[in-house]
Amino acid sequence: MTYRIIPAGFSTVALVIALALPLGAAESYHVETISFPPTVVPEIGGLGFTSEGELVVAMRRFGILMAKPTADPAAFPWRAFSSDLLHNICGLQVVSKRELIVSSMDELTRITDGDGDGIADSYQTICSAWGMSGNYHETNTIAPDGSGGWWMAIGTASHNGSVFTNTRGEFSAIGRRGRNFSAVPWKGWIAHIDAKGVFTPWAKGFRAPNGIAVGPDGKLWVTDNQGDWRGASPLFHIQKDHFYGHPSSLVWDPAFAASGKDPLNLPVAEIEGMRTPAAVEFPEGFMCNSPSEPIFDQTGGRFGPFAGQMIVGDVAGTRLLRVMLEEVDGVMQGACVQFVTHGLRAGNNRLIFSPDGATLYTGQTVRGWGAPSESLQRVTFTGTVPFEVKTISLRKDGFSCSFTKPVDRTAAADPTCWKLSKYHFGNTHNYGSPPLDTVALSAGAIVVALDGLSATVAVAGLEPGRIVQVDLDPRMKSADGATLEHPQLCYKINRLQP
Amino acid sequence: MTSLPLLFAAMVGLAPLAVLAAADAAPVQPPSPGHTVFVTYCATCHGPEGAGLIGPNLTDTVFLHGGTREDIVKTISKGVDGKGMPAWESILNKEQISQVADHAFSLIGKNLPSGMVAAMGMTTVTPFPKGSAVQPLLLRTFMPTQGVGDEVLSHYHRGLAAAKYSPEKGTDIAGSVAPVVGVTSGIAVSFGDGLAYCFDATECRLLYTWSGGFLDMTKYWGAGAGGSRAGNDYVPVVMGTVAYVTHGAEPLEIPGSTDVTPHFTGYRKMRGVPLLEYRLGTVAFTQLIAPGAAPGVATCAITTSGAPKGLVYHFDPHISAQITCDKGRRDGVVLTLSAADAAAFTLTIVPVAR
Repeated sequence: MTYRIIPAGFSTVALVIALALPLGAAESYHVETISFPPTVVPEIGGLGFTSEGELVVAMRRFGILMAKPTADPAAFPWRAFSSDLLHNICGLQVVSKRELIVSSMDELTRITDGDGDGIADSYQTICSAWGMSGNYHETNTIAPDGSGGWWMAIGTASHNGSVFTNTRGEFSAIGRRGRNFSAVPWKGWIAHIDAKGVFTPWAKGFRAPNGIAVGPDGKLWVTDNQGDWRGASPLFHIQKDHFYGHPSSLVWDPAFAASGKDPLNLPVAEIEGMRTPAAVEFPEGFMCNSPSEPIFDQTGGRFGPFAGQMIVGDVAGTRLLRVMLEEVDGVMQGACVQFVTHGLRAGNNRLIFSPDGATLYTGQTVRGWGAPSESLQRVTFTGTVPFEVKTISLRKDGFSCSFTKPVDRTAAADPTCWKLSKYHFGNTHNYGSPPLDTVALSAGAIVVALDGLSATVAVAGLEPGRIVQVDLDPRMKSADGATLEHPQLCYKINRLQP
Repeated sequence: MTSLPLLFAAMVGLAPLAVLAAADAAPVQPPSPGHTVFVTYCATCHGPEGAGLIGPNLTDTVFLHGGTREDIVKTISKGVDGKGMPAWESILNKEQISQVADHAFSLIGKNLPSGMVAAMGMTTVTPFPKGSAVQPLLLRTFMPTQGVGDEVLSHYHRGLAAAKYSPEKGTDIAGSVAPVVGVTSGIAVSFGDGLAYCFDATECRLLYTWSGGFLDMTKYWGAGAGGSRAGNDYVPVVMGTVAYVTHGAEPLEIPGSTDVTPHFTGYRKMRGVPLLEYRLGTVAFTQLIAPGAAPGVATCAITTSGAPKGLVYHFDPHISAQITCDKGRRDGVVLTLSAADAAAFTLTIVPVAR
């Protein structure tokens, strides 16, 4: 007997890809769904590559699989490195094909294959210094610190679930209150764990920080999810001891606890005064509903024209985002734009580049946050450059943009092709926020470079603490007639150019 | 993929239990090199017993690509175009291919029922995961307490009821939300129908054992192939017959030391069986819990280091199980283990009908 099962969704994906692309357009990023054996529900919590080029997939409901990717997405030669089900694997670092670091709900674990037979035989606890209330929502994620240790982002619990009669770690009755809560230690914190497992709380004020990464310059970045005290999903540049706005975590800050204040009853203005603002905010709906792992494109152009930029997954959306960062007056800020929006499933939770840099793998799980979308997909740059805004930077008098291909200079010079507005989001106990105090802005003088690859636009009325949304008109095509694939950008101004 | 799990869920009721019971009774043998290669590379498609999953059943006598050992080596090395069978010669060396071919050859004629039917009801594709004596399954998860009290869970803190919160108003409202009865740090292990146990990593203690099933994970994993949690209580349900439930304070006393603070440090796999590692105070322990001679019977092989004055084990008369030890001197409810005895001893737990 023999049979072969083709995932039912596969042909649908191909159809969606076909429908999403303009007729006749050559696709720049090809999306494929990777098949797993039918014994595997790929609720993916961690992705990595070994130096031998094997993809490592860590899952909540199976264990850890490895395979050297094949051209045929249905023919990966999967092997089981571990069939143990750790408690909701949330993060992964591949040290070697015989040594993995995995973060789960309950601990950071070093998994090794001591005898080299390809199967893990040792699971050593590195650190379990944070509490567990029994709530399903207390996930975490890790990033190697480059010195043998790790950064860990630890999420709060949700009022959609309870706590247990028996909690690991001290129980705080004050911390238990509210929508997303911090009933046990270090929920809503970023921590540092050194190579020996010593745990140091680093920054506070987080809600559901489901993405953490260290940039090429060493800066630490964390994404968080819209909700209470999060008007929009933010991307934060993390600095030691800073507070990032969600008050529940403050119950574990000794200095705050000594003040005797109730974090949930702090006046909004007081919280605003304490918080470090986001470097970028992702408006819900048209931009991103649930940002996850950030990854920097360090492929040197093998993944297309956005080398050096950050790519972020969306757990609640069928898309990846692109982030353009810059330092202005000593503070990080920048813009987000949609990136890959065709052919993807939802649940984009963890990202990893293939060793050759041409392919980005996206490990997917929704894990109770929405309709199930458990899968692994890969996005490969085809070599066809998409027409996109490549960069946007703040100038004293407006913005400068660069394009991936020469823009139609006549359209780009037309102020009516640049629709601009500014707004901000409120951070309160309410879940998310509509745009507040929206004001339309006007494009002033526009200068388009002779080669059509960049333009500056003067904009009056820019101010700190506002997001400037740029909607480029469909008339703004490339010189060779291509449509701008993602014409909406949101630039977060923390500082004006001095 | 959505149609597949539904199909597998429908197969749960069809799983031939006789096969699984036979697997449970099999003694744990050191695996052959070919078996190890098979489990690592082949079992995901052909099933752990070779009875087939997405790949064909290798235990029957239907040969798709030739049934001689030479044919098998060729099929493994070169793969099968268009059938999803990779060419393993790019991944395995010649010796490994030869070893796994030996193993595959040895499977011919076993005529195991299709693994697709046998396995799907018992894998993590469904909310009813299950291991076997040959391949125990370890699952770290929230777990029920099975009624063990605060004196057992003395290193946990107590989660309390909280005022109901109105997200709309942003304030507490009338009423309260009670905590759910459960422990956060369970390590549940299934050896199939013969034995399952729950060790707690916070207490570093065997909390309870049972036989005849493992866990219903529906509340945590969701129904069917899951993805969506079902309700606000994520505590799995123990399936089968509870054999042993611990009771009372930590039964081990370390003469000369008042510190028995538990620190879980990890575990190793010994032929697939977890060897749990932890410290009580300064004494390092390993514990390998395995099925005994009858369903529900557990043997706990314990080693210690750093206990120069030995150990004292206090039997709790409230426990409905007969616990015996192969070492030491027992006087009523007190077992005294010399330093030499404490270095390696085995407790056997035999459930007593309540």
